Amino acid sequence: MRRSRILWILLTAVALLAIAAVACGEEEEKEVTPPAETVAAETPAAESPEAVTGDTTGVTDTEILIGTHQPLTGPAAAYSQISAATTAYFDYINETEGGVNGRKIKLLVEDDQYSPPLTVEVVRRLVEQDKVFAILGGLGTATHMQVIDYLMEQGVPDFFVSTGALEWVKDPAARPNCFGILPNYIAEGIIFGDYIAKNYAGGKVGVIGQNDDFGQDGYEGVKRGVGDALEILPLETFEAPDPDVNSQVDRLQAAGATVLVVWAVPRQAPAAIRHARADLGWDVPIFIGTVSANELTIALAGGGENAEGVISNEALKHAYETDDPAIQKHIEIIDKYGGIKAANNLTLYGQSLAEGFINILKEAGPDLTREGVIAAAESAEPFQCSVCLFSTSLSETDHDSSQAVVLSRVELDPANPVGAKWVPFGDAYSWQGVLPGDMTIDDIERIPFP
Amino acid sequence: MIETLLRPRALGIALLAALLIVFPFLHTWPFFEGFIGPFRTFQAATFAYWLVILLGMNLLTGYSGQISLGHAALVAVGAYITAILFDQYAVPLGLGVLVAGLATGVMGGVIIGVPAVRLSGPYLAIATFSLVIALPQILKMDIDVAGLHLDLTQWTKGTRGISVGEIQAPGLVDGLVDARQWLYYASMLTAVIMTILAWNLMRSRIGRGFIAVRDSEIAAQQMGVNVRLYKALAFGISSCFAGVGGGLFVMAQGVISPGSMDVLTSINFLVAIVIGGLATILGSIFGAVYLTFQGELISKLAPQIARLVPEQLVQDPKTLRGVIFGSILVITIVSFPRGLAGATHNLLRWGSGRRAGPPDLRRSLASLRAVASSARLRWPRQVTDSEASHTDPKRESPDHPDEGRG
Repeated sequence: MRRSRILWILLTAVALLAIAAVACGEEEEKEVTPPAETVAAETPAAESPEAVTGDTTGVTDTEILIGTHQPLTGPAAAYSQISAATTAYFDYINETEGGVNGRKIKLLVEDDQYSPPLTVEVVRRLVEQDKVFAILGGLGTATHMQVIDYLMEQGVPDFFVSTGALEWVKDPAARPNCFGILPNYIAEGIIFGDYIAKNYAGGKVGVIGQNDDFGQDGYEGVKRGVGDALEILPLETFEAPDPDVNSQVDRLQAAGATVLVVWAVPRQAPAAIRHARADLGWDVPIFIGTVSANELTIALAGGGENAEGVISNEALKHAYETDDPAIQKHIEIIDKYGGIKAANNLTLYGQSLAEGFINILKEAGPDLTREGVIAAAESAEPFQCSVCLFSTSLSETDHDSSQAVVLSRVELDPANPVGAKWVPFGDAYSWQGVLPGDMTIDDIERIPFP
Repeated sequence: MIETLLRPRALGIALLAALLIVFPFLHTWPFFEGFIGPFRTFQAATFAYWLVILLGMNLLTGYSGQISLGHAALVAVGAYITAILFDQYAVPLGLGVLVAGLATGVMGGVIIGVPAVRLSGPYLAIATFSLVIALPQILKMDIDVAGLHLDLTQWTKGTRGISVGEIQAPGLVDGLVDARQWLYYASMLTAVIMTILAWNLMRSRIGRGFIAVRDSEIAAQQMGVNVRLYKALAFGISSCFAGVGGGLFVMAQGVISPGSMDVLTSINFLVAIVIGGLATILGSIFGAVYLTFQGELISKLAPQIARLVPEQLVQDPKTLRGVIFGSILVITIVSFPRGLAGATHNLLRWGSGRRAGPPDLRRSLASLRAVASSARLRWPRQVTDSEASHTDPKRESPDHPDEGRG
């Protein structure tokens, strides 16, 4: 009785502390951000004399508060490095330039464990309790799908959704506040399909895809790209939490596939590579989506020995290009401001998100509103971030910023910590201004690279 | 003694009712403005649907002792039924929730309940687990099998899910309450009704039947309790609650998709009722509070606790979330094996010096007798301690239940 009494008191104290933390936390944030409804009447005296019309939730004289939902833990925890790099870059800009137009950028990163029910919860909290100005780089197809309507209803700008699914960009009129950043999966699929048709004609294409828009868009793209050159086997699906895709690979081998395309994150994609190469001893050409084109995939696949020759596509520079000043800068920034010792494709991507957003903020100017920042994004000049290979552009009719990629493949490299690296080859592909809906290979132009 | 018990109790209930009624407007009052916002009203609606779901879950696992890891699937089914009725047949959401509850109840009772009577313990858990694993793919099903084209996606809209939008207050109360407050009232009222239903149910013959089946199936059968019927009934009733909860879920969230409920959610339900307290209504309430606030609490607590960890050990404190969350769960369950509700009961009984021990065999037998001898549903009657102590196992015989009692 005595022991449970002490424990009871202890736990009550902890509970009260926790409630106090939550309550006080909310109070602080409420003081800092002005409510949206009274914006027109209550512009702080320190601001410009003319009244700022529009929604300035999340914006104060000194700070811009933005949020994101990321899989910090769970099946896609590999991506947790992205937000670490983005935060580091914002800290760098805050310190060296004082932010943008005198406002420091604060990024709230919430963990949704790549689980859609959690995404709904954390995004609601970000929008209604933390009152963020915008969402930046929300990650995951199925996860973001849950909140996209809600964000639109609430009028929250939804920048650079970290997936290539069509849903966000296929109809800018229907989703005016949403902007993509990854090359969309249909375009990726068409490019793969075209390459496969030219190099592996006459065989069978086996496609493994996540059982949602990610896999389905990718499959659709491959079908369009391959056309009649090869037989396309039915799509083999898997669910996001599945630890591996061994049975899917086995079935495709049994069906006689001569080429494999895998639309998966760095959990199932490397598992597929490892199973095919190491377990089955099958040297089928493997293509993986750009979301898995990073060093982690090579490592998880069992190193360069297994991953050599795997093809993907990329739009970012590489961490091993250390003679590029932009890469040197990147390595320095993430180490100094984020404590990240090893740069890789994911940290580069994180920085590209931050750079893209800062560019838009600069374009929007000192009178920052949600409507204004969306208009600024649409009217901004084409922008190439310091670690990007191609320039990105947005317009009123085109919310898909990244519309160029180059094919790349894994090559052995003893100097690299994972034993191999991604090396671009061939031409680059560009589809500026073309929406994915009815895209075909003819809409994609080849440009020389580099 | 009855009067003194009644007075504070009635007062307490009146206070609670008043709080529930004014809650959505609380944030406009000067004192509360600092720490309550409109977001809390939404969270209260969230609490309402978690409560309904957990009531059903507690009925099944706490009172009937049947472990179900597939409850999230039933909730999803209820949500989808409500959404499909609204989306395709323009059925108002309120009615949709009702229909969903009944339909899910029937489905749960028949499809799961009937086969489940043959299974128990871990086998039942695995069988129900298969439900929640299969459901996402069933919802996305668009296949050709044996020449037949089976396309469920024309109703379920596949991976995109169904969007029902924000619930609107009916014209009658327009101006009095906004959409969110209306959502709160609709959800909370449903939750209160379901709570009263559950409370009543557990004190009735059916409830005692459930407890009897949980405590000892063989003994219950000996006593004339139709074990199969009660097991199936347990699944049916809890599925009904799950269906209603699912309907409230889609009403609040505005969208349902195959990703809305996953395996983790199912497991979370189980964790919630164990933490809250099995086989008590208060336990379901605590569990619902846990489900509503755990994300936020961990979000706020984890960085503070992580700061205590030396930087050499852990590079990124955000990854410690899981560890902190798990530790809190373990500490809670070790300190309070009977859940937070059990701890509350202990606390309340403290003063009187009585130890609330686990139910002993005499109590179980007493409840069996009450079930076997009551011929019809009557006003809830508690098995008192005096009755329990009068039961003498030596004199009892299964062939001659004591007819005088009942």
